[in-house]
Amino acid sequence: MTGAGTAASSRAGRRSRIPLGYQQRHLTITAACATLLAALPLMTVFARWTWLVSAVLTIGVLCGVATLARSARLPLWAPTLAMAIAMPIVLAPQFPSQGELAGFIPTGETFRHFNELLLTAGKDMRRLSSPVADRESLLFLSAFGLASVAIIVDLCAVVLRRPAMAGLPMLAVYSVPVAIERDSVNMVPFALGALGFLWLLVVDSIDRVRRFGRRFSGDGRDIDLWEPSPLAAAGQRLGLVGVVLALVVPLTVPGMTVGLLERFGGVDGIGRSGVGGSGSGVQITAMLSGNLNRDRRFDMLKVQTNDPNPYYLRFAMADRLTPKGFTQGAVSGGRPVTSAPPAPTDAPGKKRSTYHASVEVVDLKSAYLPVYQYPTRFERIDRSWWYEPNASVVYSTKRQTSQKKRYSFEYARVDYDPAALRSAGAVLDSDPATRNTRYTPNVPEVKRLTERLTAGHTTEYDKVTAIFNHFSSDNGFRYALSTKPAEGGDDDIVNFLKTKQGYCVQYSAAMSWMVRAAGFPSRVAFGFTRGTAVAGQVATLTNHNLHAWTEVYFPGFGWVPFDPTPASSVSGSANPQWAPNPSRTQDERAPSSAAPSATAAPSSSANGSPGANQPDQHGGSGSAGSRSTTPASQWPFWAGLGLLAVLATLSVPALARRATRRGRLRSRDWPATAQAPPGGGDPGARAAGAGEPAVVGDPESSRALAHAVWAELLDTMTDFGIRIDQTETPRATAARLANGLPGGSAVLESARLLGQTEERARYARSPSPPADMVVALTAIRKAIRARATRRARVKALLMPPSVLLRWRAGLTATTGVITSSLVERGEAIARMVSVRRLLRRTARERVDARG
Amino acid sequence: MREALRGLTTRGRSFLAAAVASGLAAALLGEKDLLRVAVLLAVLPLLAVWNVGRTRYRLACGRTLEPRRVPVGTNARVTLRLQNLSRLPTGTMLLEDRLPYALGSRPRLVLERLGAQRSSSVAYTVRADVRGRYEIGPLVVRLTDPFGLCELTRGFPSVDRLTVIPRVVPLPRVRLAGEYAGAGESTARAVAVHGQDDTATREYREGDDLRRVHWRSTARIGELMVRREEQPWESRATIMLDTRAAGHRGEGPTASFEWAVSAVASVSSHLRQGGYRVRMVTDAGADIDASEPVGEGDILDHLAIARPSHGAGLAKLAEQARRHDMGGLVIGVFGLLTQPECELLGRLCGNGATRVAFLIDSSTWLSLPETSRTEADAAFEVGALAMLRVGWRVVRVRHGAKLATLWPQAGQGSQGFAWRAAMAETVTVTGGQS
Repeated sequence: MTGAGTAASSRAGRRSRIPLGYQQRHLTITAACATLLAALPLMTVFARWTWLVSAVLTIGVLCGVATLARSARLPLWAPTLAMAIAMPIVLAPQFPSQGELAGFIPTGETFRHFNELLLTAGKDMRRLSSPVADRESLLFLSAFGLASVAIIVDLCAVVLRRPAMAGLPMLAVYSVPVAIERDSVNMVPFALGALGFLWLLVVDSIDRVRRFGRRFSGDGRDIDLWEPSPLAAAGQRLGLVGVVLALVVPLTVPGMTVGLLERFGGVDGIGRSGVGGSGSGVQITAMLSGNLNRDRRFDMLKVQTNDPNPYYLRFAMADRLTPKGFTQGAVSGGRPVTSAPPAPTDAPGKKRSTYHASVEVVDLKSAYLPVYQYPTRFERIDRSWWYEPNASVVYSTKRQTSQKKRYSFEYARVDYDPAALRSAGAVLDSDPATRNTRYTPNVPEVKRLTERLTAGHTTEYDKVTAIFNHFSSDNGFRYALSTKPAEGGDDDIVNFLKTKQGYCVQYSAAMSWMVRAAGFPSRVAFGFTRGTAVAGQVATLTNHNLHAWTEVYFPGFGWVPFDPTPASSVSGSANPQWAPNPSRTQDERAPSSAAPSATAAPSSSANGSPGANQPDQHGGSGSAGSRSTTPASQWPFWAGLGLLAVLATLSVPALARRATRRGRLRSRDWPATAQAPPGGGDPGARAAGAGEPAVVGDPESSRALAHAVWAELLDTMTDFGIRIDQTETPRATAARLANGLPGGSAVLESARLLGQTEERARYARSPSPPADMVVALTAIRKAIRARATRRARVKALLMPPSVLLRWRAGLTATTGVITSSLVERGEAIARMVSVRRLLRRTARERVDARG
Repeated sequence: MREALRGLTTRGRSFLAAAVASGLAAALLGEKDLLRVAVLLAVLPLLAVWNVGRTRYRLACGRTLEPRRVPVGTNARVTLRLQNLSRLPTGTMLLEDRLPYALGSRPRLVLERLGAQRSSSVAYTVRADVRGRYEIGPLVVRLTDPFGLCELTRGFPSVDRLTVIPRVVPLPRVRLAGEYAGAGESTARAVAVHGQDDTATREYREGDDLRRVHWRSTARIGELMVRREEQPWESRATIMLDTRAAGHRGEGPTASFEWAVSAVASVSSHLRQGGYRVRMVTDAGADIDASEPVGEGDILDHLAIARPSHGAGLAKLAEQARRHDMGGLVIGVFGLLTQPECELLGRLCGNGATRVAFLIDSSTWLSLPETSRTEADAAFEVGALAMLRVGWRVVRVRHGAKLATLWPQAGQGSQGFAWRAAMAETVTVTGGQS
């Protein structure tokens, strides 16, 4: 078993046989590919793949430039410089400013354009929600950023030869979607990016090993430069294992949705919690317009409530007014949902009734949970969600999203009596509700319009109603989604007031503005209309149910909702008696189900009246425990399933071993048909098979059976850790085996029989008749097992080394073959497109032409 | 495993550190996506450690030098033979044989993979331009993982010695005094040839001459014994090497000392091929009696490491030579000599043995101005004449001379004219004094 050769001798220390240029080019291309792979996580940010096309183009050209520069044997820093110079040249035709020379040579105009694009991108990032559509600014940002990353990666990996450092810019790319997405980023792009990074590491490391010295193989042969290294195969295996572990391990870590910093540091959650609202690129108005405009209808929520006439489900509000429209301010303060929110104050003319609702979020990624106004108690929401009573929103302090959440809550539905509203007092400046909610930009047209509408009215309610009724279709207001959404022009709302064409966002924003112009606090609320809900049944709310409306503050009453959007254009709109829809016809305008008395519960303390349909209520306070109620019922199932899976995995080697054994001993046609033994049958064999007729199949099958039985015996020996010497004859092996075994002469005889049969099968012209080899084998196996320790027995049963060794060998061989074929193909391509070869060929052609 | 953990490279350690950092960040921020990065960074070095340290490779390494003794400026071939004794194939191993820098740069080899219980050989050549004894080895084996995160270094302590001997030039066959055979012009043959009665006996065999019966043994043993008739005659030669630093000029491989060493090596090899029993003496105290069959090697090995000595004088050399005087031919290779030193040497082996002195005019190894040159030549001539006077044959060696062309002079007789001239000068000098 000793293969030895002698590598051709060489002068000692002949070391750098690998042309420097080759390995640099190789690394350059690898670095570019790794950068592209590492860029893939960006796909969660963009809605389409245009960015990738741009990235491939840009990085490809940069890589080509670097390769050319390295082929030309320029100084070490030159390729990096060339890439840096090439970057604007590549980007210019993709994002033209019309000022380029010949369409691609950048000028000052180009750089000004780039600067503008970057500034716009900064704004867009704040305004748009992911996934974003293809906007030139964002595409430019991604292309520019990836090109920079490509240059840095190239610098680290090729110039500085520190590919591990190239991981940092890659990590920076990865952190973009991590920072933007509220929940976990898709793991496939992470895996690809990680593999790209590992690829770069392996290529560099193998290159280092190659340049260490002359390579030679185990059989003493010199290894050529082009041949793949077995390190590459090992690298593939380890890299795959590493990436899989990196994907799996975080899944097994429970929780982790809440940062320790917030858990221990954020006692009141103020300041940090604002991040959850608007800072992450999720703009409510953009989301609304995007979803309403989408042709495809998809489910977002499932709501069930025992309220026969609920108002809108509400999840956010915007109170910052700019000429462009309403934007969200940061929400902060409030208290964790586990502590009961304050019940709405009672006032004459305020009818309060307590209901119960449960919500299942199907597809809504938001930092807010949709709830009805005035929730009084929450169930199955963990304490990382806080409730802010003034804004009346439930928001996450821990960067959680509402996606896939299931929760329920009790709430107080409040109906307002118009007459009572009229009696509301004056708004005091000291009222906390007036913070931020009274500011209006100085637009005289709106001011004038408001003054005209409210002239002659004295009470707040009348003034608000007058403004409210202005949005009637009688006045020419038309609902249309087709107008440019609020993100467009500067004076969007003013435009809307002129063109009188828009949708809920503009309706509500315009009304809020005008109410503010009239001097009353107001804001825009976002949420869902009621859909086609029937009390007690589950209502499914789709993206077309998204809605925005106005809330006006009445001192003593709180925030009273008004929905100026035409009811005919909104499915499931509410029509409360204090604000009948201005666009309804007169007969419709009569409140259809406004009388809540039928289901009105006595307005007692919310905590005192547990609803009938709250089966798993955990006494007022413990929502930390209640979080696990759903999983608790399921965990035995999952644990059982996991246990089964583990058992199944563990039993695979044993089953494989068993299958091998059965295949060996059965698939050979046991020559059942007794034939007359050929003349001069071996008396020894016949004696061994005493008691049975000597049966002989055709010689080939006997031979095969003998080999199979022998192979099985060897495997058994391997399983029990008995040394196998390949150079030993079967006879010697059998004798050695029998010597160490208990069981007396029977075992001895069996071993001798097996050894002899195998010997004859190998060397004799006619193999011995297969006698009862299986019986002998069984006897020996039994003897071996009897001698072995318990541990060895278990090991041989569950983790048979013979199977494991075979698998390992197979795995190694397969990955080796795959790697070598991949590498060979890669090298072939690299050689085919090698710049120098092309140059040489053209030079040759030129010479030929001249000759 | 622990050893492998210690073998983490800087990259591996920074990976672990980065894993800890990103793990902390993930925990603080509550980002599972960051945890992935942390796990990946933590798992990779551990996988690498496992990959490198999982097998306790049992490797056997043998090194053969061929030849073990090489003349200056020629190549020796070193064959490394690695055997994998374990039952798993090895991973990629980086081999580096430690060499002194005089032998060239260290050979670095990459063994991609060595199958279970297989062996492989790889050879490289070394070449030394300076004589000496060099240690080859130990072989350092580095195991590495595909990511360069972990690197284990293991050494094979075995060290082989390569002896780089001075250049040996073939010399023409010249009949010299001190040979046992033939009648030549050597007048001191009978004295120079030594031997002793061989008292070895053997049993009487059919056909032996009765006159050869060795009765004394026969009486002692009780059966007829006969004398063995063979009378081994031995040619003996003593070679003296003058290693005084004072007598030599020049530095490094071109120094006159190197010429002397090379000459001694060549002469001793030549004489041994001619059947001489050669003894070499230096003033540094070495006294090597080259007996069969490895004797030549001893002399060459000693010459390989011979260095110019400081402080020792010719007296030491003369005494060394006299101590175990075995007679026969005396050949000396000397640097610059003064008259007293010559007389010292003259007292050596006064019994008429042939004495040949290769007198190296080591001042010619330096380029001197005209006047110094004349002085140096004159001083050298004084020494040479003094040697002649005390009975040595003198072969003058100047820079650039080839031993092979000088060698025949060693065989010439009493150098009639030169000798007479020397004698005459003596007479003149004496005359002048009287």
